[in-house]
Amino acid sequence: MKCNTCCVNVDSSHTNCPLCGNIVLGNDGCQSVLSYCKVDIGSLKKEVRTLKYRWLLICIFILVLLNFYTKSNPNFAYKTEIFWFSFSIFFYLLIKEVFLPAFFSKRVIWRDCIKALMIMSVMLVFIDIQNSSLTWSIAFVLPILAGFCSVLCFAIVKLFEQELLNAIFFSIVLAVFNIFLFFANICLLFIFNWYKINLTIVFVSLCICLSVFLYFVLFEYSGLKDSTEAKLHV
Amino acid sequence: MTSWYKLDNVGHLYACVANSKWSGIFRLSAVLQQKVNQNILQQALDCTMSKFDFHNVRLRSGIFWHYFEPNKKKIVVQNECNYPCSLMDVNRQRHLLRVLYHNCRISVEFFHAICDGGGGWLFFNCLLHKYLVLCGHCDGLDDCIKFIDYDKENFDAFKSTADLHFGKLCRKTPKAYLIDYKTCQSDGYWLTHGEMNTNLLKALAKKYSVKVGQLLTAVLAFGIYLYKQDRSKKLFAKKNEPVVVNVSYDLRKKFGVSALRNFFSYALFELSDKKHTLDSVIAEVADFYKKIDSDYLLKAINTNVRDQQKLFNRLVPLCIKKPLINYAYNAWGEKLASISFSNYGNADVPACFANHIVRLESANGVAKVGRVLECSSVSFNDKTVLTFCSKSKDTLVERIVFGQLVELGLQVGVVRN
Repeated sequence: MKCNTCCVNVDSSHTNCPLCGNIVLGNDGCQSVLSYCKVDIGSLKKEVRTLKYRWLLICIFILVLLNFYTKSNPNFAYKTEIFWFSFSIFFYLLIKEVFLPAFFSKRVIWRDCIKALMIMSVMLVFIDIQNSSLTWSIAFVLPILAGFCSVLCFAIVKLFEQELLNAIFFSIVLAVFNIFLFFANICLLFIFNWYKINLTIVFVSLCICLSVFLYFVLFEYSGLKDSTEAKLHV
Repeated sequence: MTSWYKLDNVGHLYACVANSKWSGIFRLSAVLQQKVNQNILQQALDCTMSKFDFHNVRLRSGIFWHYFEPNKKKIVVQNECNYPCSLMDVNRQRHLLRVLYHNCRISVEFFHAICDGGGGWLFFNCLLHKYLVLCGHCDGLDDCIKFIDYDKENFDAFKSTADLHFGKLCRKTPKAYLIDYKTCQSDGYWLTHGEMNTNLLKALAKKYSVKVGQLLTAVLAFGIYLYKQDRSKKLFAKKNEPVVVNVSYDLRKKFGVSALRNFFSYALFELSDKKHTLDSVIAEVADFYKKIDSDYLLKAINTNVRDQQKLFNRLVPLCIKKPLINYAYNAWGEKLASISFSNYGNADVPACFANHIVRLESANGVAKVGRVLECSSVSFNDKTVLTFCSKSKDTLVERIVFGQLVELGLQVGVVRN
């Protein structure tokens, strides 16, 4: 039957016009020789999610092993700092694997920067271990450095495309991401050293950590992620 | 059977560029009049594969280049339960083509490193013919497989055709306008087929004194031009970039070569930056096609072959070369054109196909990001099917293009997966 809006003949397998979405009167939606199979989107989504989290789990496993190794080794005086550092890496992975591909999927260069930074971070940890020096500095310097580099790289990429407004907009988004990450890292430090600091800070830290968790749940298990992507046109 | 195969000139590029966002595949389909029988299709595939050794390979990484290694596992036909043109995991030693069936449709999806559309049709013709013979619909007299001299036709046609003293092509094109369809990761791949009457389309093309392929290129370019104008009202819209259509050329007929592997080139049609009507676009397209002669195409071949044969490019290890090529493609190659268009023309198939096949379809796979819309067309049995492959649920470009064709007086039948 014909779609009154598009003036094209619509195959009988479609009850709505595939181009404009208007209802095509007379089409019953039954299978025709030209029709395709119906794809189970739920299982595909699940597959994508499984792939993402598989990598996350592998990374967490490696980090836990690293922590056990450092904790069981009496030579490491600053073992807790390595624990903090692994958390900061975990959050980077979370952003890289879960959020980045969806938000900044066009920016291969940006993802590559993050990958390079990840490798560099891991290398620095091992160098630190070898030198028995403070890993505390790395745990905080790297997130700041990463934040700075990522914002800079992304802004440069966008500026080269002569899209100043987009550059500013995405830079702000990225900056917020990185500040958020940085605060999460500090908060974790506060939580695990709660006996040294007052309870108000612990409460604030907990709230922020909870918000990280909520943010993650909202974006992964609700339609918020899809709708945000759609709004951002990525 | 050879223990390994070299990739051809274009194959090297596709092997390096294929990743989890874009695996460089294309799809050929035939809609039969009867439901597909899985067992017979498997038999037909086994017979065809016995002749097409080269297609049953897996991609391996060497020190300097990729290479193909024969795959011992046979290809099994699959009931199509996923989106068409979905990603192919070419780097994990899987098969580089898949044969799918659903209801009345048989489809083959190829990784572009093994063959192009021309080579793909040869394989697909053989498979379809064998299937119809086994079903008892065709006799075995005009068997396509018999006419293929596999040993002679399985070679790197680029290398044998290139004449490096002839000169090379300088392609200097600005960054093209990219269609800003909304895409979501969880979205599938969407094929939109528009079926038209070939005779009416030919008559229409004749009216404008152009060929069918040229008319379709013009309608496509004009469609994107109108889309761009519509989008330019929005905030952050890209206004300065030109509409560019990447037109694929089958080089077999031009150079009288019969090759089973890749042997194609492309030319970029850039729509000038002024106000357009469909007539003016058709005139521009006609002028553009006049420039694409044998010399132009030979220069294009030379450019590719020369780059590949440079000592530096040959000596750099693959582990360094691959990310560099991948980066260069993502940064520049992908942004050369707004859309690519492959016109397969009238399908050269055995006569018995006409009674048992409703229509033929073709589609080029799209990337998850970047250029999210591709177009191709094929004619068979007085039906021309124009197919858009997209990663988005948006359909504005398709709607404009088919709308233009309807305005020109054609009846368009639309199907979407």
